[in-house]
Amino acid sequence: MDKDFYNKFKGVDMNVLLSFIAEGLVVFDDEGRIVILNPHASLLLDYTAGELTGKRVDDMIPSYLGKKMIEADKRIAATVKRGETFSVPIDQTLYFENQNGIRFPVFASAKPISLHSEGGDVSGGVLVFRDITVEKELEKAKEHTAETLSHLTPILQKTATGDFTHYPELPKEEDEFTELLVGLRLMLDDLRELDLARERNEQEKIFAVEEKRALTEKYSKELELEVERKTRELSAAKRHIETIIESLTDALIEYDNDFRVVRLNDSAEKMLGVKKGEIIGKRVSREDIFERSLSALVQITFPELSEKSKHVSPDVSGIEADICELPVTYPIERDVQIITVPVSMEDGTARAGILKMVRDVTREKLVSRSKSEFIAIAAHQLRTPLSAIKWALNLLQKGDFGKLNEEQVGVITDAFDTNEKMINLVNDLLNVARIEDGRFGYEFTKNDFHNLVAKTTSLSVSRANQKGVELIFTDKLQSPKEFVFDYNKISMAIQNLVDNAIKYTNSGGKVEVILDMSGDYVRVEVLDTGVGVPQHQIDRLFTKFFRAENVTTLPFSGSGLGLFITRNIIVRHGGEIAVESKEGKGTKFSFIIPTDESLIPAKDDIAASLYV
Amino acid sequence: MEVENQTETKKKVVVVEDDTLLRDLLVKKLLRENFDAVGCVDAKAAFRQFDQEKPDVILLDLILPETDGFEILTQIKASQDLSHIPVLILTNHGQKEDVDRALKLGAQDFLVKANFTLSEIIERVQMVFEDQSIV
Repeated sequence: MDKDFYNKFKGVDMNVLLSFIAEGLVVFDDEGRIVILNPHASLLLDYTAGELTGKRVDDMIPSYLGKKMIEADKRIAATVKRGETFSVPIDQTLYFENQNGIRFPVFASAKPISLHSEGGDVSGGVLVFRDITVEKELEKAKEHTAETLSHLTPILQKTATGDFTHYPELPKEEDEFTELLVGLRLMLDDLRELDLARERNEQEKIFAVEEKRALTEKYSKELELEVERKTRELSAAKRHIETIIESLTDALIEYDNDFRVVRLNDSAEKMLGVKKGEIIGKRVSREDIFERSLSALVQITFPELSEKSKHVSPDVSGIEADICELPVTYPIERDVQIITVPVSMEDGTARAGILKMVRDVTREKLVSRSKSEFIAIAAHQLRTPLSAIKWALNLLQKGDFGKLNEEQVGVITDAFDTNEKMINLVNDLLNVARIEDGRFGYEFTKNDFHNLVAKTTSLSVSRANQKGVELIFTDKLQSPKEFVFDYNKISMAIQNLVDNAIKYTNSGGKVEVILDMSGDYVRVEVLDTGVGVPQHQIDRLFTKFFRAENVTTLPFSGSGLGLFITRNIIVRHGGEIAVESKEGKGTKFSFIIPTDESLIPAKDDIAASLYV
Repeated sequence: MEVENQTETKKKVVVVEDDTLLRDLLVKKLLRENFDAVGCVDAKAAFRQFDQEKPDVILLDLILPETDGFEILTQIKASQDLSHIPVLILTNHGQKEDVDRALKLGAQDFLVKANFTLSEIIERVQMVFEDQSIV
């Protein structure tokens, strides 16, 4: 600072200088009376300079530490007078009260001073103070913030862990945090809402899972019960089947594909003379045939090993099976019939094994042999005397032993006719026996069918005339029809039908034989105006020994075998026979036979099915 | 002359039949129908007759004691002297096997006794000669 400026400055009014200070400045004398104050001080204290000058500092500026007024000896001037500095104790706030009684926080300091002036040395003090309202408020705000934050901290910490249940409390009075806290609360609300939603969701998920689990459990329980039930049913069915299998009189043996015995029933044990325990699981081999105790088992397993084994025609049952018959000698001599059927896998694709049913047919064979013997005996022993009677009566009838009177001829003729019926019955019986034996002796040759029907029909003309029945042959074919058939048998069939028709038609009635084609078949119809067949008996018409109830009382005899034989003949030709009838009105028999030789069944296909 | 002529044209028939009544009736009928008929009961008698009588036709039963009709037929057909003689089988065994067998062995015809009256049998016998005359 240069000397010049200093000199200039000396000339400046101190008051003017002091007025520039932004703090209150009060100078007081050693009595504590205010000497000078700057405008800022009067502004803060709300007095005019004049009102304060000369007044005592300690009176004019009431001072408080906190809310407590400072005691007299510790006030500003009193302190300074003792030569001490007045200052604000740390951690306390000093308040001044202005003229209007308003207190405001201040930073103040007062020091003793001694001034040299022209008027002599003066001692006193100077008070400098500053309104710290703003600072205090700032501090308060800082504290408030800290406090608010200190409250918020645990809440926020909890929030961070997902706990949204703690709200920051709102201050009673609105402050700068209110908005923030309200926002926070709203956010927490949202978060809690979200959390609840999530929880609900989770709960729902859990419920869903629970429900699913319960449902699954229920289903599996039901399934378990169902399985249990089915198992019971199955095992019952199995027991049922087992019982049936075990109580079969036929022997039953099941093999796998290697001829290992899988099953053997009681009858099989008895019939083959083996023990289940020793046989089940055993592989039957051809070499075992030399082992006597196994011979029957081996023979039925491999029928081709037996010289006497013979195949028989399939059963009527329609089961596709291989059937053969052979005699066994172990454990006793018997004839057996073996039905062999493949056992299919469940899906039917492959063979799972073989099943054999063995039936003891010893008795049947015996019966069959007896039947063959009967045929021979009946043929010879029965027909021989019948022939003798026939021949003798015929000689008498024809007058070979002298002419008879009319009455005598009548009696002889009746006797002859009765004998003829006997012969016919024996012939029918023999035919049936042969049919059942498969030895009816069919002979298929190429012949004219048209000629056959015309000739056969004509054979019955005289019989029809005798009875007063009109016999008509309606020939729709009008020309020869040559194909392969058994002439004698078809003739017999037609004769049976025509004779029946005449027999059961009363005098004045009509019998018509119609010959026609039906595609590749010839059709023969025999219609009559006779007694007819009761509707409920019509199905039994072609069975052996059947005679309708409405003819058994009539004076006509019949063996009940003719239609059985006729049907056999037609079926053997690959044809069909049918009947329509109205009791009291008449009957229509019609049959067709194929003109194509290839449609005639091979004997094997048919023999068994004719055992009706 | 007439008688002589008759004897010349009379055909000799040997009937081989073990049943007495049937044999008698048949022989009687044949004689009445102007045949020279002889009956025999078995194979032994039959062959004696065949040799003596040189029959024109043989009526042969199938069921006979000891040697049956099939055997007799076989022997007839095997014999140089007899094989040309027509043989009619007259039996009550009408099974196809029997018929086939007899025809195969050389029988001319096969008749089931019960199904023919004597008049019809005579017709069949006459048919044999008619066939021969045609040949």
